[in-house]
Amino acid sequence: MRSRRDRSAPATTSSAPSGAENRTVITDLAAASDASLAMAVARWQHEALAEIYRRHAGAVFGLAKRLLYDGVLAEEVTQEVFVRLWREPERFDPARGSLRTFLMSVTHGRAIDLLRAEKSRRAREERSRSVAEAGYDLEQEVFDLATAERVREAVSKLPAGERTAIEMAYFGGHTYREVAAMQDQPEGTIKSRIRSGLRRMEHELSPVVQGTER
Amino acid sequence: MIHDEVEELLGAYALHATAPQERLEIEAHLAECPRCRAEVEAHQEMAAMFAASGAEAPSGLWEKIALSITGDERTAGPPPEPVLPGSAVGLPTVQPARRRWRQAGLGGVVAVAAAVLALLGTEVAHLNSQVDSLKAHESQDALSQWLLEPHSTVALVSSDRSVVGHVFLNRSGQAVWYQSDLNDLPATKTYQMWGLNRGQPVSLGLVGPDPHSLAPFMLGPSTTKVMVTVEPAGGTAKPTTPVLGIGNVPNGYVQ
Repeated sequence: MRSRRDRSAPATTSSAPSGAENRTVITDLAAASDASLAMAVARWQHEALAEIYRRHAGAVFGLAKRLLYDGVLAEEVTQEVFVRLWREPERFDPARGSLRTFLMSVTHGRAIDLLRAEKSRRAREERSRSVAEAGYDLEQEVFDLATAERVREAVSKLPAGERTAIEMAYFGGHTYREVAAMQDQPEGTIKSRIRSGLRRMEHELSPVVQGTER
Repeated sequence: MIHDEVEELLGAYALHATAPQERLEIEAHLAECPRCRAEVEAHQEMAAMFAASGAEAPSGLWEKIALSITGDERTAGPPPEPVLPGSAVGLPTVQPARRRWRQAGLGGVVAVAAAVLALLGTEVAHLNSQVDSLKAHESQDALSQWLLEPHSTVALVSSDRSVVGHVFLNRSGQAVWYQSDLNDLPATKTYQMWGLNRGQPVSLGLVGPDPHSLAPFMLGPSTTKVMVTVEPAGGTAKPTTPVLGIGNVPNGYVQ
């Protein structure tokens, strides 16, 4: 892991994509790719973090709030996600996915940690009750992505069991074991449903997923 | 855990739906298996598409982030405009001096952090003594140092589940109470922080009548919960009023 001091040095690693913008300060931030902005963050370019925030803070906050049902905690998670990107930019590897995916995954993981902490136990119980009444709706959650229609369509094609398992795990913050207990199904069934549902959607949406890279 | 067992769990892993021990075992496997790594990356890409992109971050949040990464509030600049579909919003101009400050100022940051920690250390011997309220800008500076270092945040929650305040703490047990929606108290009363050690409340210190003070205190490894009550000025040995907010210290976090 690089130290803060290391980051002031020019990027010389062979894994870094080549190109003039990797060696100089990015001036046209609005036109820069997410990956380039992340590299600029690693070189202390504050404006690059501001641009990443401008692009993704809404989604980060929205996901945290959707999971935590608490605006204050969602703000904390959002702050933590961006401060962490600033302090540990090497955790994002452009070769392993888009910056948006990275930020969403970090946000989801952190929010889930908070949800599972004992301090949220009572809130979870309350949430479970209200969810039992209202239910999750994966189609409604994906409401304004540029590719929302394709995502909705893919979700609607999922077998009900797969869709429910993914919804309860992703938006409910439940482990697959908890989902199995709540659904009165074997754990192996729920593991398989989550995986096969995701794979089914990836197959359905592969052109869309590839098209979202910046 | 063998390959086939890990493979079955990759979907749940990508959705953070596995147990901590399973997660560790899966990550050990991922470090050595490019095929499983690729599958996880595809699942994560898919999951990211579930997250709505049209929400708007609260106003003022960018300023907090800018403050916490630089400590220089004056040059943090206005918040970046949210991206709207089809819009091309320009970024605020950041003053050139800002970068010079940051690059040259790490020593200063460390010095200030050391001063804050020294302040906190002083409180170790005076857990039950009055904690002086810091002025607002001093609080911001001190807080920014906290957010630069690894820390955990404990939200103190009331019986109606509203958040009444937050405690930031590090692994050494140094902690600060910060930012509260509680009301100012008359001078005859004070907010008092408590730790729950093996089921027994132990006074951590007094915040004073102004709940917005940045109050430093110390937690021991055996402290499992943090609480706040209203007590007579000067504090009490045991809580005499209902707990206004309580939060759990992450198990094993303080060492």
